[in-house]
Amino acid sequence: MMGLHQWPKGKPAQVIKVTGDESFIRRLGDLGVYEGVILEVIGRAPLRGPLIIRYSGTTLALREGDAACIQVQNCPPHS
Amino acid sequence: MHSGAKLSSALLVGPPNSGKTTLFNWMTNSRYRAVNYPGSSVDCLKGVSHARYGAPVLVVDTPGVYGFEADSPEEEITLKLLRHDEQMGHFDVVVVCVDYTQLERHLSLALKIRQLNWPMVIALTMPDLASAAGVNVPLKKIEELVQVPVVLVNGRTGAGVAELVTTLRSLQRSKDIPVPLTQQQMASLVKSWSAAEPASRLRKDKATTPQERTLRLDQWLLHPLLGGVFFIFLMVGVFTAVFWLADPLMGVVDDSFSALGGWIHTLFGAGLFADFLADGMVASFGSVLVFVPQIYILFFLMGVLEDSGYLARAAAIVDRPLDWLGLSGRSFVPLLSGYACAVPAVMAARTIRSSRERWIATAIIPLLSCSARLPVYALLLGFVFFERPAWMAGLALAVIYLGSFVVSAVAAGVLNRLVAKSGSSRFILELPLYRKPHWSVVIHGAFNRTLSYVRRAGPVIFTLALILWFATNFPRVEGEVSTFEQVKQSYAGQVGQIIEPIFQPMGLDWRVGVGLISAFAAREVFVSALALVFDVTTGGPDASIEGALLEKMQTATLSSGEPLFTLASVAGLVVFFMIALQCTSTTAIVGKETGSWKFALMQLVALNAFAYMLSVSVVQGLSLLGI
Repeated sequence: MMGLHQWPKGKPAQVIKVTGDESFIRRLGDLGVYEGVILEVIGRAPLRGPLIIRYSGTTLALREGDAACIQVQNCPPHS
Repeated sequence: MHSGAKLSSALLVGPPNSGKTTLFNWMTNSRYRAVNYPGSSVDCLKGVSHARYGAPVLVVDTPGVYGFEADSPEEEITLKLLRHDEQMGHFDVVVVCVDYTQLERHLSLALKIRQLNWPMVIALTMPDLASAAGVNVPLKKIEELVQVPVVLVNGRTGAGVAELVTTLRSLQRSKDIPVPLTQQQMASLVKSWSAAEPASRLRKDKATTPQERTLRLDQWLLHPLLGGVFFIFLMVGVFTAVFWLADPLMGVVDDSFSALGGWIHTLFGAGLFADFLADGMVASFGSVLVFVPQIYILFFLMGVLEDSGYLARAAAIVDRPLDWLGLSGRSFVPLLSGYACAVPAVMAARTIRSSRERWIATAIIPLLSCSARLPVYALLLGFVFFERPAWMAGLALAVIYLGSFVVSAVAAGVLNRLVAKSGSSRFILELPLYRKPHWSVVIHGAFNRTLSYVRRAGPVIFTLALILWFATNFPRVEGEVSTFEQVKQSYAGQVGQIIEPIFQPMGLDWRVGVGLISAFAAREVFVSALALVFDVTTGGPDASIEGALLEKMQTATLSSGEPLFTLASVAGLVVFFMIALQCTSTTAIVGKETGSWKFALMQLVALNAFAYMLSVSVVQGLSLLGI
């Protein structure tokens, strides 16, 4: 288990938990990032900018600090 | 609207990038206007459904929301409307826009809205490529699950819009509110939905899905190195296009208002009334409209970038550098608009989530080199590089733009240090799929934003330009006197002479002072005001007024007999114009948007005081060096 900011590019990850303040968790939830969702880091904007992540048809840019609040692990084998 | 046959009214709600705006354009046939809601300056778009869809329905397009967590003042408005806020007026029906490729996420918003006691219909939209691939949409199944009418709408062809409007009308009659679901029902619904997983099926349908095309493009456009290079080239391209395309159009606007003025003079003869009409009314109107081409073109190009999906990427690319200044990628669009005009830029700052960031952005927007400064720089550089090759002035202009960029960055950096941090700064932005822009949406969107600028800034600029005309033409000097004598003895001239000591450290006299004060109507008025005080009324047969004015400037002297316009005093003027907030419309809009006149006035005083001090230092410094 680790923060999404440390997760290698291109390897699917499953969200275990989103930490941070209430509004941040709700906002990410509204955007479709919550417990159980499988996502993938596809890159990073220039100048070590925001991380670009992708999950079920949505692409999202978010800062390293925000990504650190998303705890992820390896995907279970059956998915 | 007071008759018995009141129009049915519908709220159009949906997540950003759900095809909401395209749908709105179809429904209203691109005929709509911005409306303002009480207690806020946020605009919603309001239009009436087109006659081809039968009896008219009033439609209001709301700012996009992802959920019930408001992330900006804009989103707050949508949530208020959805929660039946009495202040916001009454609506009969809600249309929730849902993108088929984002079904799970968008449908969960629709379900939340379903709980709020609205007669509602879901408009299911599709990205173009998916509809081209002939994906089979399980429409009936979705309808069964959510138990509200679902209508499939095609954003490219407009198919389905007629059915949607018909459904709206019948819902308005039946007032059929879906029975709210229990928590358990909601949970099981979402579960059965996830099991169907249509998004993944869509992805596997064809080799080139929109998602895959987007992913491939992003490998290049968001590449750590190439992405940055592409961004810089694109921005340079946008700026070049704005100036290059707008220049002839601005000339046309300028010339036609001059021609109109001349025509009034020939029609009414020389008297004061004709002067008032031609130089007062018509010229003031011209100074409002002369920027319309530039502002429209910038909004148009921004619209193309937005609709194609790139604008969000650009915001992500600049997020990191903006973070150093206490801003984020969210400030990108407001700051970019600031290069055309501070008024729409300050208005665009509503989309910024953090109030601290909104504050910093609003504070520095007037420092960005807006288009009203351009005629002033053109005149001053024309003087410095008189009869020298044109590229030298061009290069100097680029240096001025770079300078204004640096100054605003430094200002933001300083404010970032000074203002206490509130909460964590974050930046989360959805990057939509790339697609071919919908031209009708882009063209009408840019038109509406430009109109909004004219409506807001127009009255202020127009009124001040009129006041200025009175101040330079009254009290009337008896007998046949030159314009110069008239201006010298006018209220403006008198004030200018009284406060001349203020301008002396800048190496200027009262005449340029009158020009600087006049610039508070709008910066470019500086040029015509100078022409007035230097008694340049007509250019030669071939030369423009600017040309004649430039010649006068070469020989103008201070009362001491020394030349008035030197490299030092002109450099001082350039520095002054770079920083000073000489735009009353900006202060008016900042006061309105921030809801704090104290902030607006402090900004006005601070920027002008700083501009003055810096300008004096430059002039005195250069003089010491013997320049």
